[in-house]
Amino acid sequence: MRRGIPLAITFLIGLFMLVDFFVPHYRVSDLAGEMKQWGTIVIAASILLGVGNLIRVHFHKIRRRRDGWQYSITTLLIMAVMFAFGGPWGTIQEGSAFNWMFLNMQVPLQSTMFSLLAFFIASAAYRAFRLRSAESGLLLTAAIIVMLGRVPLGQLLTRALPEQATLPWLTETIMAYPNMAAFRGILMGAALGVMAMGLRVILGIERSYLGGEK
Amino acid sequence: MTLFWTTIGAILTLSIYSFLYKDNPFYKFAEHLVVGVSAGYYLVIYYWNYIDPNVVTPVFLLRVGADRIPLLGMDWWMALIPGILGLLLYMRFFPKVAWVGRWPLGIYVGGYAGLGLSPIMQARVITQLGANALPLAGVEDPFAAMTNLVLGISIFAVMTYLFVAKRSMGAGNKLVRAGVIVLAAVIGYVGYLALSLLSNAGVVSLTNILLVVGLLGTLSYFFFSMKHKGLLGGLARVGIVFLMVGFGASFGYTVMSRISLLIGRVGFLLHDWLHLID
Repeated sequence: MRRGIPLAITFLIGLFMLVDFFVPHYRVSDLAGEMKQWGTIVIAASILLGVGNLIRVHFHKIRRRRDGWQYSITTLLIMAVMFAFGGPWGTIQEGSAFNWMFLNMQVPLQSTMFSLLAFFIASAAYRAFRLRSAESGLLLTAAIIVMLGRVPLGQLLTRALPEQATLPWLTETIMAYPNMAAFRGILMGAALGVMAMGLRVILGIERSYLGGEK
Repeated sequence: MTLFWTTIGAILTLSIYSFLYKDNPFYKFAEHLVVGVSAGYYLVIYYWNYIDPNVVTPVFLLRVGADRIPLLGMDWWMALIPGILGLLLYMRFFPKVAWVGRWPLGIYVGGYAGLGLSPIMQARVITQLGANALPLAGVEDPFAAMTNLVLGISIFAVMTYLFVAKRSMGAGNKLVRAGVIVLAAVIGYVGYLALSLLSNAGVVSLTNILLVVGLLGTLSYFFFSMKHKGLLGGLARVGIVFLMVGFGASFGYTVMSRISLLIGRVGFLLHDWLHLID
């Protein structure tokens, strides 16, 4: 029962979504639309569950005085402040304290965190772009063209050349054609993989999402 | 007051960058601050954007303009179902009934699996194929169409020959292989420029052929049911060329996006905080 019911639910819902695709009746599509809405709400609930789990982990860390517990106080405190500013009144409104916190704390802090990756990605680029083989030569050439073509320097370096020899034009061409062709292939391969996995899930062959316990 | 908050922002920015030296208490403080702010933000956003309008308001309250009247909405029982499903997820905090939390997962996974069959086939395979198989330009003029086709095929033949048929050429010598790449790229590019001088329709035709060849090559590379020999092997090699260009371009694009974020933060420190640059 513990595994049978969720497997049956998965089968029925999966089958219904398939039926919705092939049966264009308004009652079927209305119910399918409602179910899609349920999925969105379950996702939202799972995000809140994740936040709840984060609170639990940090709370335990503080209670047991584990290594670095003082930082957990920071996390819980700022989370409480953020919730206090936004929780009772709702989403972003111009001039609200929640909006101020979002614009002056979350956005700059996250962008600084991501910009930190610039240093690590530079070291990764050094390893990836080394000219070890013919293929890595292509990788290097395409990356250099795209990197230069995206900045004013690239435009400056090739401004005397005809348009079709400028770095911005080459960048656009690479992104629009060889890059597009390759990523379409990957996208289609991934879509076929998703379909195979979907079939396995609906038929109950794939059960890893149920977890390890009985 | 602005200077105070800017200074706080600058100190936090420098605290994060201090990680470049080594992990330290300043970085840890800023890191935990980011986690806390983000968690609080998403808590509020997901509640007000999804839970409140779809569950709480229809079940308990009815919005009339800016006011909220305590009244059951019309389809309140329909809204109650996802609310209960959402609550069931929290059963994992109670080990004895944790298994009930699989029910909403079943709905979510089953729904996504069902959507992953036919609609994804249509959206990500058939539509993409249609977008990729574009007509050759200049078909209304037979001479132009023939010229475009011959030129396009010639350029591809030369490039494929250099990349595929002569794979063993200079296999042991990196310089020779790099030279082959440069030569192929130059031939391809010169051919492309020559074509663009002849007609714009030729360029369109060539790029459209390029899309088809690239897609076929990439799919062949990921086709593992047969050994990559003969025609399939050749196509797979062409696929590697396109994949490498694609990965290089994407990686270069990612590097530049990170660098632009870094420039933004350095600009904040030097302009907004220290006023050293205009």
